[in-house]
Amino acid sequence: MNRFKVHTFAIVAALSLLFSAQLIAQDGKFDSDTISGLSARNIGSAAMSGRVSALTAVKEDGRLTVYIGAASGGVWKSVNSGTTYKPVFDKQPVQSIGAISVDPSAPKTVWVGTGEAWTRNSTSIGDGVYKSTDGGENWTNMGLKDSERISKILIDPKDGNTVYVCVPGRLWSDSDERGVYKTTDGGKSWTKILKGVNNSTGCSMMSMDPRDSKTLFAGLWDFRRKGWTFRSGGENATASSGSGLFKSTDGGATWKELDEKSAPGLPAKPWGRIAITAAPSNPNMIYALIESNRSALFRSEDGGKTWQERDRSQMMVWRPFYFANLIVDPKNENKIYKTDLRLIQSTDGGASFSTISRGAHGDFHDLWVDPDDTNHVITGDDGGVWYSYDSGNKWWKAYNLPISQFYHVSVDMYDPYHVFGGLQDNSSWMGDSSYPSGVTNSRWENLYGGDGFWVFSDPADANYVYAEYQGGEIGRVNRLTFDTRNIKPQPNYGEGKLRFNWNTPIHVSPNEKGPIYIGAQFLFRSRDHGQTWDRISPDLTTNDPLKQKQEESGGVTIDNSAAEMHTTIYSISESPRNGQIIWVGTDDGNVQITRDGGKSWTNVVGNLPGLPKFSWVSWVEASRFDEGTAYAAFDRHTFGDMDPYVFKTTDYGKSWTPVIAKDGGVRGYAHVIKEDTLLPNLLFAGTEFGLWISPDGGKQWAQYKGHEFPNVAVRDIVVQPRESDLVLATHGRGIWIVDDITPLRKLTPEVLAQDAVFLEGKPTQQRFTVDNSWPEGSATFTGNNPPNAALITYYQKKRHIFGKMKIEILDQQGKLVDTVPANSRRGISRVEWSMRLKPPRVPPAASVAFEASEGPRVLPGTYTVKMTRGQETYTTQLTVAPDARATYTPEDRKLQFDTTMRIYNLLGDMSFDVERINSVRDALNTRAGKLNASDALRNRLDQLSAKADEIRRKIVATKEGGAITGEERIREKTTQLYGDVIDYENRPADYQIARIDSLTHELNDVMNEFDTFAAKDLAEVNKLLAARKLEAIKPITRQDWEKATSDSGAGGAGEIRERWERD
Amino acid sequence: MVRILMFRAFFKIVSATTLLLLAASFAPAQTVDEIIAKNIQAHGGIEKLKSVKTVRSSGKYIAGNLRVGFVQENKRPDKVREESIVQGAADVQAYDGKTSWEINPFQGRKDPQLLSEDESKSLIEDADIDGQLVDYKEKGHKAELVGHDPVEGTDCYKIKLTLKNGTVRYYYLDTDSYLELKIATQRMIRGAIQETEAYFGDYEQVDGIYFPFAIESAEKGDPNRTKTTVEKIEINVPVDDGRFSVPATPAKAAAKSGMGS
Repeated sequence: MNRFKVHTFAIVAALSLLFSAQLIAQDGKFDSDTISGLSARNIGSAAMSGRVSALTAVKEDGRLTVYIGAASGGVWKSVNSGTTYKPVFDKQPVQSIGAISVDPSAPKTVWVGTGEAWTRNSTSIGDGVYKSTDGGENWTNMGLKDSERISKILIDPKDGNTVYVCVPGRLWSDSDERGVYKTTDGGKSWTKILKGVNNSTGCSMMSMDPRDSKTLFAGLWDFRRKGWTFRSGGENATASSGSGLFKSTDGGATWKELDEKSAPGLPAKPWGRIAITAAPSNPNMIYALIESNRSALFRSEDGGKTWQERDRSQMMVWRPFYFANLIVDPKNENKIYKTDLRLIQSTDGGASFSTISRGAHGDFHDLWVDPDDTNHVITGDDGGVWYSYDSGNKWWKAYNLPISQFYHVSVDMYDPYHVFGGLQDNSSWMGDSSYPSGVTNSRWENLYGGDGFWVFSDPADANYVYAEYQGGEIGRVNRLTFDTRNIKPQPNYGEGKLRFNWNTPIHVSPNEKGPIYIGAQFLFRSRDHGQTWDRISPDLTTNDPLKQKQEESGGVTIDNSAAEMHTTIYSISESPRNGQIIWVGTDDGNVQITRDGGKSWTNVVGNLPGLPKFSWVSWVEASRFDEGTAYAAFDRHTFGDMDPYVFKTTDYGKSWTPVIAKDGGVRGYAHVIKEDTLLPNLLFAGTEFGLWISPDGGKQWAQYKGHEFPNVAVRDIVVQPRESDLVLATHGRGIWIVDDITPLRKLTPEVLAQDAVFLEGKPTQQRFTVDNSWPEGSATFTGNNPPNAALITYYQKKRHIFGKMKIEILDQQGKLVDTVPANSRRGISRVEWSMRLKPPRVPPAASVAFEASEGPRVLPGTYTVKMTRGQETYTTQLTVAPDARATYTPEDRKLQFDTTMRIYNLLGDMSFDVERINSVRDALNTRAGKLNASDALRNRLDQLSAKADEIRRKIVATKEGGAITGEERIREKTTQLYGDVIDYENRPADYQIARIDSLTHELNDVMNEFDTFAAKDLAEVNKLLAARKLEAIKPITRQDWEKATSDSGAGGAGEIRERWERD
Repeated sequence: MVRILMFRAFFKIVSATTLLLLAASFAPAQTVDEIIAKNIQAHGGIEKLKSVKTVRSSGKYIAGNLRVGFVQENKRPDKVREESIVQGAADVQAYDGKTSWEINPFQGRKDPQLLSEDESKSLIEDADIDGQLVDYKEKGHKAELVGHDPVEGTDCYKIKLTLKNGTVRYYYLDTDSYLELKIATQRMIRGAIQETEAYFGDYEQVDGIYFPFAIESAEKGDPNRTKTTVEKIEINVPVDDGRFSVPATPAKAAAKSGMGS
């Protein structure tokens, strides 16, 4: 290793761990860029994918570009018909998509309406309409920022600057910004051209006459959701509603309402949600789905003057608030698709429909029909994107959209650990946090069914998992057989309903392996895996009967799916310090604590300063450091308040202080607040718009954006305690892992004030170097593994731009082992050291021996890391340990390393030997080249050159041409042995060790032959050369060879330069 | 083999004092040409750049666990040769202003092959010894100031440069030093877009011109970046024209590559 050059100019200062002696005039900032150098990796999965709310596609140069709008995971673009996608909306502040439209006259101009219009209980929010003129590379918010959600965007095919936007408006509160908006200047200004009769009525759907862009149809929709109820239309089936159908023939300047009087055939009011569309091939053919007391599909053949009722099958009229989209085949006015739980299709003008979605997931929301090949359709549902090439008979799933919507996440203690979580309409799953081939879709296992929420490995028996589906349907699942037992607690005699939230909390005791909790209005605890449940509380909610009328919920169409169940327990936390202390938060605003294991309860919500009553408690978290300390997060978005509310108590709830200040930079309603497992003041907050991190108990917060982590809802957070990995459940982009957050724990103000400083990480393991990946093509998602490398983390107050910055690794003796390229970014940087020595020098031959292209991995131990940054140097220690799963002894590993080094050195010797031969051969050729062809000496020189080369050919394979020659000489045998030994970091086989001796012997035999050649043949020819006054030929010396190759980091460049110089 | 991604950075720089003056002159909005002029000035000035006839840079890069030596040679006009070296075998790609070709010897083939037009794009772009921003109008490129966009927390000017060949390059120039911190490239290959990103650091002066000595590059969005460390840059050393032309015979090419055949 002593051949590595040390750039001595850089070593000017004495080594110091923290160069605290430097006076820093300015403190470093704690902001997003400070922390985002810790990368995050998305492990998906795209196996289940997630809800797609809108999609469209456009042909460009014969290729299909597809845009997918995820309900809460941004916009994804494919330029190859869906083979691969990339997210193109991640930098925008919201990720919920309601509508996507491409300008028919300019395919690079794309409009996106944010805020999903399928108004389920878990829907996210948007902030207006966006436009891109470069196919999604860059976006500009064009306004309507208070719209919250947008259901349709129509672009005038003759004038791309004229655009209509259908705005349902706010779901949870009254607002004025709803209805139909129009721009004629490309979005610079907007005019409301159609408004509802009240501030809960907006636009649900809109359609344009395909041949006359001034003729428009719009459905207005009166709707409102509260935490405990929903209405589509009025308060009930007969109550008045602002919903109605409108037509304009002058580009929206004036509108005519179409109802049963003005347009015969339409149903009687009141109405709920409306879908409307004009057939592209026949502008007079209009279809409308109208939710009413006789919900049905209606068709007009005269541009809306008169109507006929058509299909009213279940899948036509089921849950109109969630399914109200009609798509007519571009070429066939009688072929219609309707999205619903099932996708249905009519080929007779809507008289009858067939289910065509078999094999797909279900809960469809949008569909695109290829205008050139109408058998080709693309649809999106709660399980992602699906393609059909036979008009919907059979479906092909997109396995490359990790837009999965997790509600919760947990981890176990396997190595590598598993990740568990449940998703919107996508069951409960277990995935690998890493796997030798990467976390492919196939590394995720479906455990249960329905909508998934909390999932836990049973701490008392890792072969079992607790999972649930909506409404508290908890099951205990055998992970190996998947045999499942439903263990949902039941009400007592005559008691009425146990009220389980849609997202019913399950909690596992942090103190004992075994006890689990589940919350209805009462708290239940089981100590025997659900065989029996103890009811350990009275009704902990407000028990407000006005919030318990779910059987009347839905508006025009009753819809009581458990999604609106209210006055329930929503969050549970047993104190890790004292199992007698249990915190409970309810969806109707109570924060309850027991300090005697459930015998008595105190509601402490009244002690929370400035918090409006009945605020939904999204999270309670008992501190792991102090039994009187707890955190509570409140989510008030169901009241139209999108701000985060997070508080902390240190006295069992008697008093509380805000942890997130008003206008403190944290954006979005709060889902979760978590403490670090080791550092009490390191807090993590998940909101609807991302992850925020505080290093100081909430005084400062910064949004985490590592590896372009999007502004997606973070609904649950867990720190895997053994690995110190931060595992994030996003609702829209799957599970993300920030590997080893130890450096975050070091970010004190003193550290931030430094110009540069190392941040210690967890001890590094040398994980097995295996890869069992298999080609799956480009169309499947694979999550990255953590780097199998030592992570070296440091902080810089400013980006390093000028001068060398490098990181060197020194062994226990202070000898340079390796050099690692540094990263120059501001804030935390993390670089990887492979823990390998440089690759061995391998003699050139017919082909490269890739099995010997890596150096041996160093032995476990302590290494010194030295960073040189301009004139300054910094050092830290790095602890390298074996893979925790390894069974070898230190002696085994040392023998393997020593054996590898013997082969490594043999290859080095061999490289020199070959170079000795080559140096002689080249010199012979050079001398010969200076003589006439007829010269006898030349002939002799040529003969000797051939003889030298013949000796070389005994060492290295030389058959060129690229065919599989199977030619093996000493070099090939040695590199193969090297590869075999280096790949298995355990005791090598005796015969492998013995093989080194054999190969060394074989090489020596050849080199003895060469020595003889040099001593005899070469000596003779040197005499002849001397007689002709030509320079004698001497093989290159080891010293000269080492010198010529010394600065070659890759065993190459220096050597090559030397060769050029000889040319 | 992994291609060496553009260490085309024939930039120059200015004294620290000048940089401070530049940084201070925040003044009204600058035009794209003003910013490009400052970038050229920051690298060393147009005269200095134009005085460069040849450049040879060498060092190593790490792609995954593979460590590769590299040598890149540029010569006016429009000649470039890039070598990636493993175990003494050099993967060569070169362009002599007319023809682009390669030798990939790693599995035994030592004879040159022609590169397709699309596969040549990045190589031919690399052949611009000054970098694309210099004289961009004369070269037929179009520049547009997109605005400010930070690179990993450092404020940058973002310039969109559409090359004559259709490639789009986004330059992220540090608002203090005007040097490139990042270049994002979009190139059409066989009708499909290929997006790469390169990050630049460790700027040092060689003969009065500032070059980046540390480069990280990857396909867009890939966290596993190829890390290039430039060890040596030589300016105006003699480089034979023949090194850029398609070798006449395989034997000659192999000898040049030091294959010892």
